[in-house]
Amino acid sequence: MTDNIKKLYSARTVCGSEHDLAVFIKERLADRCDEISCDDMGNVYALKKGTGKSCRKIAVVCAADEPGFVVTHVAENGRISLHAVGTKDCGKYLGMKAESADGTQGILLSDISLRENIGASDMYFETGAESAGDVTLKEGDFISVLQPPVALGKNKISLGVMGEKIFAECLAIIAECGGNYCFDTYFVFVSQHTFASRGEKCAAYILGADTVIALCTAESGRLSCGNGAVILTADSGGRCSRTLTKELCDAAEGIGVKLNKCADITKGKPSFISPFIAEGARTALVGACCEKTAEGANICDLRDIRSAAATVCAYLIFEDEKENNTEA
Amino acid sequence: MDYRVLQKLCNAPGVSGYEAPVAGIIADLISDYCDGLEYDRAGNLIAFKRGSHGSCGKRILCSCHMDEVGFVINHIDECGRLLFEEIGMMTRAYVGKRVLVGEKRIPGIIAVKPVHLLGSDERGKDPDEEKLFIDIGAKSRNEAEKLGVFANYAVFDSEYENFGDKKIKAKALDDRVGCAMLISLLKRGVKYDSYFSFCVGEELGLRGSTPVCERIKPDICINLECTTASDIYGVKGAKKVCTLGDGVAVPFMDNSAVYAPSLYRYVRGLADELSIPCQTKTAVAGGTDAGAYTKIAGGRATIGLAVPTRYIHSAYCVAQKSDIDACEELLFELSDRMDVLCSINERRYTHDR
Repeated sequence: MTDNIKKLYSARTVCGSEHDLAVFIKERLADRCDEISCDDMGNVYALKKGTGKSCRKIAVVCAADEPGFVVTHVAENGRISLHAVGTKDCGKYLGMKAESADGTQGILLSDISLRENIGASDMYFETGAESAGDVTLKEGDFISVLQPPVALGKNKISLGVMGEKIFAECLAIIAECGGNYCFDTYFVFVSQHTFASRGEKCAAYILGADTVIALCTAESGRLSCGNGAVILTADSGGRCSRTLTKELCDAAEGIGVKLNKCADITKGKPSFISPFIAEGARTALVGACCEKTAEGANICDLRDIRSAAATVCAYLIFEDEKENNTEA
Repeated sequence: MDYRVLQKLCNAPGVSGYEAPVAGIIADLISDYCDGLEYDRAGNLIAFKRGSHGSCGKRILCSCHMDEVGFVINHIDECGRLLFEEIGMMTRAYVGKRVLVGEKRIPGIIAVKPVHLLGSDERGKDPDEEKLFIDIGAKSRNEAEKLGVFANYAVFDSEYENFGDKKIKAKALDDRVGCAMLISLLKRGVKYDSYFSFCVGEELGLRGSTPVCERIKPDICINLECTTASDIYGVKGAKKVCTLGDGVAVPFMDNSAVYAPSLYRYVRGLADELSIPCQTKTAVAGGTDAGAYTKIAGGRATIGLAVPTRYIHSAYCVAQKSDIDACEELLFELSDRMDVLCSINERRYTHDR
């Protein structure tokens, strides 16, 4: 799993420029799914077709984009001005190594001191260029933060500033384990989540799914890593379906997965579920605890991620059984 | 660009929610040049034009918005003063400006307490909106009410004028410039079947473009806009946004949308190849109907073309004719290459980008 995570995190998926994501998912799931497609937003849909016995459509979704920067201006002296994409908290990126799609590497800096509020357009990309002629980048080019995940002991992993992206791996595991269910199952790797849930809005419309399970981190102070998967009852955009949440809890219990319950309604955090609720879907949130998020460390326990994947897999299997029994 | 059309459009009132006068002018101008023309329930004017080469297999939408910033009268006090709310984002630079109220175009001025009567804490500050009012010369509430101004709109009373070195100043250049360009494109004709939307309510939060997108479900959109040119305030670098006279501005991102990177690059490259003056909109600021097109109904690939405009959302916006001409030329060229744009878009998420 760690190798897969490293591979996932090496794919450049800055919000709005998730081309690498589609390539990564296609390589990873081409043999395991019946169809893989993308929409104009950049969402990637991996479909496992149902046997046709049920007309239900179940979607499991995760946010696969990452915060980053876009070049806004290249000055005569070679300074590359940036605008933050998918993040407002720019202070934690100061001094970090970053890279553009053409391989130009540099450091993220600002003239504003850390003690002040560093705005979205206050950062620049120091590449050592002494004039505009030394710069190959152009306005509109995206810059990715280079922060590979760091394994901490046997089970923990620090994901740096890209906490949510770990669930792309979790979702890939769920897709790989997917059987021939009687309903269509969509595994959706959502882009532009960090830009006001824009990716989810498109996916919700395109899918028209009746059941949506979103994978996400939980930043509750009451929880700590290593205590199992987390079922969230709400996020900043809405409340989850009680019945679906209960069904997921039952599924977890059925396979002996330890679950924690919480709600993460952090204000200003983009919602994972509200666009799906707006389209009439039953929604639930499954995830894992993430520590030191404010510090930009995002420490997760891989066992929790596996537990979250197992919970969703169990739910899909139980639902399949239920549907088949109903049919019979 | 037919600047007489632009003049006519800019001088017409069309505050968000009250776009009928502008829509009427546009409908009259294009009815002979399109193969379908109708209003939707939101008030958007939607035209369809058959292409000389038929359909390219994709649904194409060219869009602009008809509405402009202004005011709505929400109260008349005993002295006949009209209290108002702003429609759209504006600075208080409108104080002292002339306005026309309602369909009867009743002249008024946006008045404020004179400086002599301001307390020391009020001086040097923007006046509060609540302390501003429109004076139409009425002596009483009764007199004002008889004129039918309550719950009606007010629009800047400023005429389109040529000035300086091939510049124009007018209210509502945002986005009557876009309307004028779409009219030009309809008159010129298109290579592929295309829809044209003249949207309402952009200044109030993309209220017109959302139903347009849900209805047309375009595969690709070109959105025409005006964008802020902050090139005269000593602003440097990206925060300048764009410069008057440097050509059409192409955005890669704003506060409402990330434009498809491959299409953005293609458009910039095409402009360079054809020697059409073109610049990048460098600041990630503002929002346009592209916010709806890239998100609604599953999200559509969208290209933005914008005319640099100084003092946008004010009584006198200023634009350079050469920028407008460049924007129109690039629009025409893109319209002829919609098949290419669609194929680039389809390759966005493959190795073959």
